[in-house]
Amino acid sequence: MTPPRASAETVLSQVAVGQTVLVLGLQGGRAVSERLAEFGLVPSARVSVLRNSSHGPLLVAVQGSRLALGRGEAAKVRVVVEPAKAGHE
Amino acid sequence: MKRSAFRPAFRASCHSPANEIPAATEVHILDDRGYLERGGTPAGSEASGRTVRIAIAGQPNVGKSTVFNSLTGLDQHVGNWPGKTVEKKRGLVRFGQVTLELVDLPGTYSLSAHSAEEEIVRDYLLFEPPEAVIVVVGAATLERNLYLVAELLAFNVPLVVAVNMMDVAASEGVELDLQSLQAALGLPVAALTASRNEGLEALLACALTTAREPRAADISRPSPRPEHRPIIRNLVRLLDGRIPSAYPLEWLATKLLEGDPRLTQMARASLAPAALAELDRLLHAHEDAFLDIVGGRYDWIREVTRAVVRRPRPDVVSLTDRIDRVATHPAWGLLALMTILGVTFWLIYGLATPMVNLLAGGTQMLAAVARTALAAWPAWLSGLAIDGLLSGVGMVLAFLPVMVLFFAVLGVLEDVGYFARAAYIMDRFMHAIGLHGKSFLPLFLGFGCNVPAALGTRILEDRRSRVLTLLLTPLVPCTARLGVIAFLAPAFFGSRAALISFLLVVLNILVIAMLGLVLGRVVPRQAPPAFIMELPLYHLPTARTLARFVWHNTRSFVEKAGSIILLASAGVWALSHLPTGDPASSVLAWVGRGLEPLGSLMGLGDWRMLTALLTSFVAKENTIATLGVLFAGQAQHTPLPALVAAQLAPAAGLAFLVVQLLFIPCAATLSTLRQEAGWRWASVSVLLQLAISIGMGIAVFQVASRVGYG
Repeated sequence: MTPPRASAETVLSQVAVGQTVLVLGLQGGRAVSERLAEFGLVPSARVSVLRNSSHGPLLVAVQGSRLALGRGEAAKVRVVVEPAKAGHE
Repeated sequence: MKRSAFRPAFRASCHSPANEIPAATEVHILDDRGYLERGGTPAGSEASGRTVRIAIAGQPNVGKSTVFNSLTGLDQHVGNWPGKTVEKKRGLVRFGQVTLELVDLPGTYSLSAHSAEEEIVRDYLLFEPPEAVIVVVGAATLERNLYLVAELLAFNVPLVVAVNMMDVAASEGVELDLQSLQAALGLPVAALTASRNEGLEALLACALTTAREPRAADISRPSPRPEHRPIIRNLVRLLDGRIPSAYPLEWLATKLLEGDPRLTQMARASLAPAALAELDRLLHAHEDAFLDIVGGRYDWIREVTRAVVRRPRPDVVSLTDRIDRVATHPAWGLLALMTILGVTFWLIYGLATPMVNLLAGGTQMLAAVARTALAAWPAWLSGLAIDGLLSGVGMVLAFLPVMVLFFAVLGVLEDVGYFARAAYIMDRFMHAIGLHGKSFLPLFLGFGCNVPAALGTRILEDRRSRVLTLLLTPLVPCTARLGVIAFLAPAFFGSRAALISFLLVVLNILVIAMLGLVLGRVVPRQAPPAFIMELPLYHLPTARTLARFVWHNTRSFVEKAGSIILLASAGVWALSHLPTGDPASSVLAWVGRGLEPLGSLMGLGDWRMLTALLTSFVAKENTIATLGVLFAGQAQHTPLPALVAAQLAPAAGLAFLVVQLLFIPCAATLSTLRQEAGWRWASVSVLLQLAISIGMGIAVFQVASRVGYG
């Protein structure tokens, strides 16, 4: 994985609908991080945001499944907007 | 070379079902005595065939129970796991010369002990290893579902990967190359669509082959990232010889690094102080290792699925996308949810109520016939049989159409995958009371029956959410209570029955919301619980799964009518005829009269109505059974609801229905509350609902009679 540009780094709750991002890491409490990781939100996982309104939970696609994610939880996932297609897949 | 030796075995057992596979599977039912306590063969099995024990594991939403149900048929041996209240299902399948004993393991996302389920799965694999484990994964959600496979590979048990719901993958446009998956995993892979009975026999054949000749050599396993190998080695050295020998050391070391609470506790309890200090130091220094370990499993998944899964391009709109555009939309989704609830209600009224009345009328006719037939019997015996048992149980069985219909709707919504959408939509509203969307699921289930609803609160991770939700669930009007309303309302309110019944349910929901708001403020808030929930992909329900869901739920209702309600009806009849034989001077009348001052505040001066309420504690539908018994001797050709309506002013009838909607939890719910939250909260629940129901009953009667209604 090529290191992404720092400028594009954000948290999942800030990502607009339709965008696909890569997970960089998790911040915040251990218990929540464990659950997020188990559901596949691990570093270098690709996440697409399906729903994200100004309040209320998000809907994301990750590891082939769909997850509802509270705003608070989504704010704990550090992500980077996926760099333009690097050729593979 | 090893791979090529493996391939043919796979082809024979998994991909060509016509080859070497018995034509039909024959299902056998185990009785209670058929089991030995621990992992042995059933005591009664014939000497000719060996019994092979195979467990079925899988994450939630992969159709695991459909696989198990389709394999074992309707009749299964259902119990609890030792010491736990999680359902344990077993079934026997006759397969050629062999008997397979299938064990349905609880659905879990991982094997880290967040709850009893994960612990059950891994204790089972550690202490009673089956001869093979079928891991069910969803074809369209393969990557995430393989996470459990990654965890199970740490155990010394032969695995078969069952890729289920191939039809969903097709409708979502996901293409899979299962040959490549099998080659990459080094595990036998079988494709199936369990809901349509496709691929099940091949799966069994495959599992049997795997159980007989496990091939461990080819298996690809997730390995710890190189930087963690030293720490795992250190932990293994520290634990070696100091902990119970059943635990594989490397696995245990990994789980400790992952921070598994129960295993950490076990390890800490087994270690001497010096070793304990060292353990704590190591774990503390590698606090973040869990992310690498979990990440390592997903790296492995990416590796084994690289050449397997082809997903449609993002701009292709799948079935799930299309439905979710409405179902998860903040405004449209709410409207959809309300519409679904409304239609359900309308269906019950429009379709089920006429049938209920027909059946209730039939019961009364049957009672009349029985009265002439049993004229020769002693009066007390025929009274008990006809007025007690027949009237009581018959009236309750008359509810059956309501139950069947409601469970059918619930079954469709669940099977289709709608439940999680409802939770997603309701999340923002549940936040008002410090809960999140997941709490909506048990509440929703409560419309069917409060007992599974109370059990359903287990999906909530933190105690506060669980207790709050547990206090709210018994207020949700279950089918039994809705049935009582459907039964009495037409006689009480005539043409306005449907409208008033609907308003009663709306009132009930408002009471729940208000109580939620109050409790949300009273019970101390903690950090808001994490909301992480899977939304399963939509799929069409099949008649078979639906029929099974309805049957499973309806059966327990019929069993209740045949046992508890039968006894309660006999009891009510006895109490209403002792000691003098005249209901008006019976024990029950005496109790009911004692409550009349309170009852008259609600317009319920008639002791029979109060008694009916009291006996609803046995089971909510018992309200009708009791009325059936107490009114049985009266006019024989007037329907029961009309008999009751004749005794009550409309305002009192309204109050009666309000009280019976909100009255204390039934015995089964109460014992579930106690089991899930302890006596203290169970008592709180009873007192709360006693106060709410009586308060609302008085308020409704007073207001209704003031405004001239009645």
